[in-house]
Amino acid sequence: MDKDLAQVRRIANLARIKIEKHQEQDLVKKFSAIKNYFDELSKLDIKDEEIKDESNLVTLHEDVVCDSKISLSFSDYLSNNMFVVPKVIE
Amino acid sequence: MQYESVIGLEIHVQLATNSKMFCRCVNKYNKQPNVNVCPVCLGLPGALPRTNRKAVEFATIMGLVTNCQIKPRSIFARKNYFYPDLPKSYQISQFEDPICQQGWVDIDIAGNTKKIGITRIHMEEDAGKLIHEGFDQSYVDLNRAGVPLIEIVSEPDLRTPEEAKAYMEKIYTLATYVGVCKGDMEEGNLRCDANISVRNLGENVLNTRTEIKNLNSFKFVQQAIEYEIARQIDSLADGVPIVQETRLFDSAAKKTFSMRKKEDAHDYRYFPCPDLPAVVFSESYVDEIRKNLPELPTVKKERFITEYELGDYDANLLTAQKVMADYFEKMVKLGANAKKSANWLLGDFSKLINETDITLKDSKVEPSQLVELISLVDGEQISGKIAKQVFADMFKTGMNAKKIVAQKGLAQISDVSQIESMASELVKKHTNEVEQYRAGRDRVLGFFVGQVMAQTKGKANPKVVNEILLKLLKK
Repeated sequence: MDKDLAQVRRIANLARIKIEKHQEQDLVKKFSAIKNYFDELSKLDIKDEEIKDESNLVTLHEDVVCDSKISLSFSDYLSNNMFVVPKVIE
Repeated sequence: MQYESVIGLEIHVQLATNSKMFCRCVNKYNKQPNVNVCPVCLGLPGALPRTNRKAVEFATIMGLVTNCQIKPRSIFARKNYFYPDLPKSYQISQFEDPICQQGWVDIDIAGNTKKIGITRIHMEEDAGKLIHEGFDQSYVDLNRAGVPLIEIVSEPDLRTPEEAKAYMEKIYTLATYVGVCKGDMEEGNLRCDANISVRNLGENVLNTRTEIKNLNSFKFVQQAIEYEIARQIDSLADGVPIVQETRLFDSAAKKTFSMRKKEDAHDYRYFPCPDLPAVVFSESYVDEIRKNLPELPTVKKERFITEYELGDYDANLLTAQKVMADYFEKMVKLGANAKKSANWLLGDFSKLINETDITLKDSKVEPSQLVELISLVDGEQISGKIAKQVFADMFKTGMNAKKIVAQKGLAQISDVSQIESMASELVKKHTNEVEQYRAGRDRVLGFFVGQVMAQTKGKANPKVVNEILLKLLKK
């Protein structure tokens, strides 16, 4: 099997996306284009490029509590303030 | 065939921050479901995470006390999997560039020290909780979603269940000492996954391993690993190969059972989280944290031995928990004798704590109250035996020793004439025993002491009782 097609099917499977047979070749083409773009990027010579890292700790959030008081009424699946989902035990 | 086991632990430590890892919801256990939540930890579309600065500091502290290299640039990654306790369908974690790596800790096993390697420490967020009730529905509480965690991954250097338990205890001690974790095991503040395989003794290969998930007590870690090693050895002896799988531990049956097989193993599709910048800090930031680290247990233990002249065993037990070490030092600062303080803490106090299942931190007895009790014994106002009774009351009620002694009339009887009259009566009454004593049976003295103690309900001063009885019996 074509390597790219196998990868497209695998990604679809991992992402829980159902793809039809007639969609596959188009997706393979798009996927190959993305891969080719990354191949081009990896050819760039960046060995002399310095990553300019400066401490960014000040941009992180302070450890101070802020109550969001969010209402959960947006959910149609609430019971005793808990979200109800189909039973999954793993 | 002789086998040896190869064990590695992944320990999840909940960080004692005020707020969550990527939002500012309170990081606190709440019985009410879904009250500590916001758009970020609920995973609502468009909500953006922002890293908690304190969590970075705590992860750095933990890296330093476990002798890790601290990386000045670390990256968050998305770990993708579908499960209802994970509202975003991915967990923000660290993968290729964790904050700490290549560390080690020493553990003590039967008087020997063993070095256990630490592969990495990375920061991540906790998942929510699923409650399974009824036949076809589960309920999701996301209070815990987004609580800051560090995962400490050990090298496969552990060889026995005892070593695994000692290692987990060591990580617990360090994390609670430096204040990175509250250490409440019942609330899941520290839990681990154990990877286990067995091999022929002397071989250097890593065979197929199983992983036991979610072990939340030191005892369970040891029991689960003991069972799993025996199970794997039995399988190999029967010619059945070990299957790579995830297993769960049933603490009631003390057995592990299969949860999912290799073919179901997740492909997490890690990739750098585009919503979060790399965490970057300077060497001086790490130096500043290193400078402010508190005294660690091994250093404290040595100081206790030299400063308070305690034995190795006592010093080890006292420093195993910071709360215990602090309690002890408060007592000594208040003027109590170090050895007597250690004896009370490691004896009656620890016994009652274990029996009642409460922690020292939550105990009603303050250091000053225990110091007062010791001074009552030293001042011969109560006997050692009565002191134990008084302490049991103090532990239950939180009342002061003096008050209990006064209320219950437990003050020691040291009045010589009162004890003398009691002892004389006894000597007159028990002539056979007196003859036996005088014929050389010294142990009969104990009978008379016991009689006096029984009559005084244990309140007579044993020193005075002994002196008087010896005088009367030798007449």
